[in-house]
Amino acid sequence: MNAAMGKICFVNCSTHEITEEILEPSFYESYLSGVGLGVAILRREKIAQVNPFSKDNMLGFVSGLLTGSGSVVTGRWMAVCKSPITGGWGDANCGGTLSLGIKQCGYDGIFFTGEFEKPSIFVCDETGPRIEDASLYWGLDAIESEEKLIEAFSTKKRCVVATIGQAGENGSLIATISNDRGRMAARSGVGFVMGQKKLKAVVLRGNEKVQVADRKKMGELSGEYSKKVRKLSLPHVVKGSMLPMFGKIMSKSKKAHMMDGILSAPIMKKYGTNFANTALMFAGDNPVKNWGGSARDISKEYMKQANPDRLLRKEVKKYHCSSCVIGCGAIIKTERLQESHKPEYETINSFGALLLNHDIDLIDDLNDLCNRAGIDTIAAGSTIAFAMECYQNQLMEESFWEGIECTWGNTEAITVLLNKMIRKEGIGNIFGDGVGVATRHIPNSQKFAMIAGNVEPGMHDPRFDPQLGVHFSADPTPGRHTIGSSQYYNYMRLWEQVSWAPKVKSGTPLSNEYQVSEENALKSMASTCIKSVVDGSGGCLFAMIMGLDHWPLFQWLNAATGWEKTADEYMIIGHRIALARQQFNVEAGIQPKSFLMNPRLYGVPAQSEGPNRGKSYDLNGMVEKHFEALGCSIDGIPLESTLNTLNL
Amino acid sequence: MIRVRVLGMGIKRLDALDEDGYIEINEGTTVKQLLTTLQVNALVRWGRMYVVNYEKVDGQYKLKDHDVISLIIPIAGG
Repeated sequence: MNAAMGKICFVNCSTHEITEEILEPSFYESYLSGVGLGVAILRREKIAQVNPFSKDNMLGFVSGLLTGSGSVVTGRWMAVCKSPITGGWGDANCGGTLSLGIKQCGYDGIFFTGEFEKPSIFVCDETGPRIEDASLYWGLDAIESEEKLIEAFSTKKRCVVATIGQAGENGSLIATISNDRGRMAARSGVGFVMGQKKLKAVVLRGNEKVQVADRKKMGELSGEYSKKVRKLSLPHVVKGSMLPMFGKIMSKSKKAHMMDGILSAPIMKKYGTNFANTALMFAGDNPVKNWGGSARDISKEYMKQANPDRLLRKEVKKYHCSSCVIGCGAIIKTERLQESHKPEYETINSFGALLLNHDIDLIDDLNDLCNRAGIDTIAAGSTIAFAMECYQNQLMEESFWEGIECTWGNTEAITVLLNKMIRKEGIGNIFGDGVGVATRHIPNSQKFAMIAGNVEPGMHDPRFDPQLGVHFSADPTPGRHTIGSSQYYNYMRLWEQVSWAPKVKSGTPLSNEYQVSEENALKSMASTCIKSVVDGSGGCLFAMIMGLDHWPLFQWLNAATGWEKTADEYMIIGHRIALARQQFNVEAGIQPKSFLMNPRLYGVPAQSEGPNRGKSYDLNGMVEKHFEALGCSIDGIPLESTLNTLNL
Repeated sequence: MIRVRVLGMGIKRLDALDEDGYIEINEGTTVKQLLTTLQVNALVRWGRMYVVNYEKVDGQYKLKDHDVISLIIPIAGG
């Protein structure tokens, strides 16, 4: 089989039985690999029907179809399970090095069921797969355990490791799985499921090669793309302090512009994602004060401290995920941290603007703390924001707060509460599982719970970009900011390759994006389908946004596999994967409409100041149209005819 | 006349472009002249935050038929 390894591995943690299964080439033509492989296997094994908190839940580590094929920016892996947070489909997408590691062991995916009697690790090397005792590593943080495992299991070839920290061991629902010293599969509670199985780590050191149909073509496509990205750079005269100009341009713009997505590479290459903490503040993209504030609450000091040039000075080297030519990550060194991953945009916003915390340097420490503990920074920051609003509104007696003065921007409160959440100690038992669980303990707090289907959304404001709100509310993994938005859609220019994808026309009023319309529904459907293709391939969201007219995803898939599929045919595969995720939720007994996000997030009531002033929309109507476009009822249940057409 | 394409944000005279971002201009027009005519954000022009056919050029570059002028933009998201 070209591109895929054609084989998956099953580990029964309860019996220690390890089995392999060969997959037919036709399987990959239906589901690609990655998230497609994950959802197909979990549906086949009827995981939707099991209790996600029981040992019957399944945890899969899946690689992308294009990983290791010679394509670039296609090295991402995914963890899949039944989410203990939503009770439905769960997946978490991650960079780092693990995706290639899975394929070098000869597998496209490794799936765990059951539960170990005592903490264990899964090892796969030249002697094959096996289970080993984890007593030396259980209790260590994610980074320390990875370092020790690499030391113990590397030979001339260094092994790759996925591991959990204390949050996963302690049973936090917002626990993550870490690889490459702090790159996180953060969402859906995947770290909880790993901890529940007492699976401390997955250690991989294989040598198998990925076969491709046309290696010369792969090289040509990758060479052309890489050359283009490498050549693009930001002029030296442009400083970080100038970037908020972009937010101001966006906030004033009333009409759609025709974009060239790859021209976002210069900023990403230089600054990484955290350029957006200041650059887009005045556009209204950055949530402030538990989504109730605006850029007007942000002080000059915050903008000064979050200036990306200032953050750049802490960098000791750039960080690239496997096969990436963009390199948006970085390793930093500070007075208190010898070496740590640079906080991403999401982390800086969730521990910064969302809490009115203007001490950006503190976020380096909080990020490192979360990476070591293995806890989702979006969820953790959002939960503290929720706590602060509950405190402000005196929803609980003073004694409930255990002496923590949980006021906006109080850095001591943020640090103490985060530590308690990680250790599940005292009040940390209430907040350590995220906002959804905390609302059950705090009466009348639902209105302050900025969640969609129990999940804290990514740090991008759906009042600024309504399509984000549709995906936050309609995706089988709610709150997900990486599925689609009007901005992504405009940048990626899908319509140049997909016959039915609506074209963004220069000069079209942006107010159209706030309307319930067939065109908007087709756009959100197209985003859903293409993101499923990207996640089946191991591709990176940023490469997708930088434009499918540049990043030759479909051409790589054909050259790697030997297929001769059109973009439209790949979109059908994407549609199948997307609907399989949706159907998983239906099989789990979930009503998809129950994932609609908190009304504050779509402007009900509308904000009275700031860049999103007066913006609101009919979320319910937009979500219903989106579901219809996907071939579901307006309630999000896939129609029988759609399931038949897609062979689901 | 030649036909070129302008892609990016911060273009005040968007009405001068067609729905795909194309515009017809006189031969010999420089990139600086075109961006000034379109009233592209001053910082983008001053900072030379643009490329032509994905190559860096200076403002005096004389545009050719079918040239693509792309302006540097941020990604909102991810």
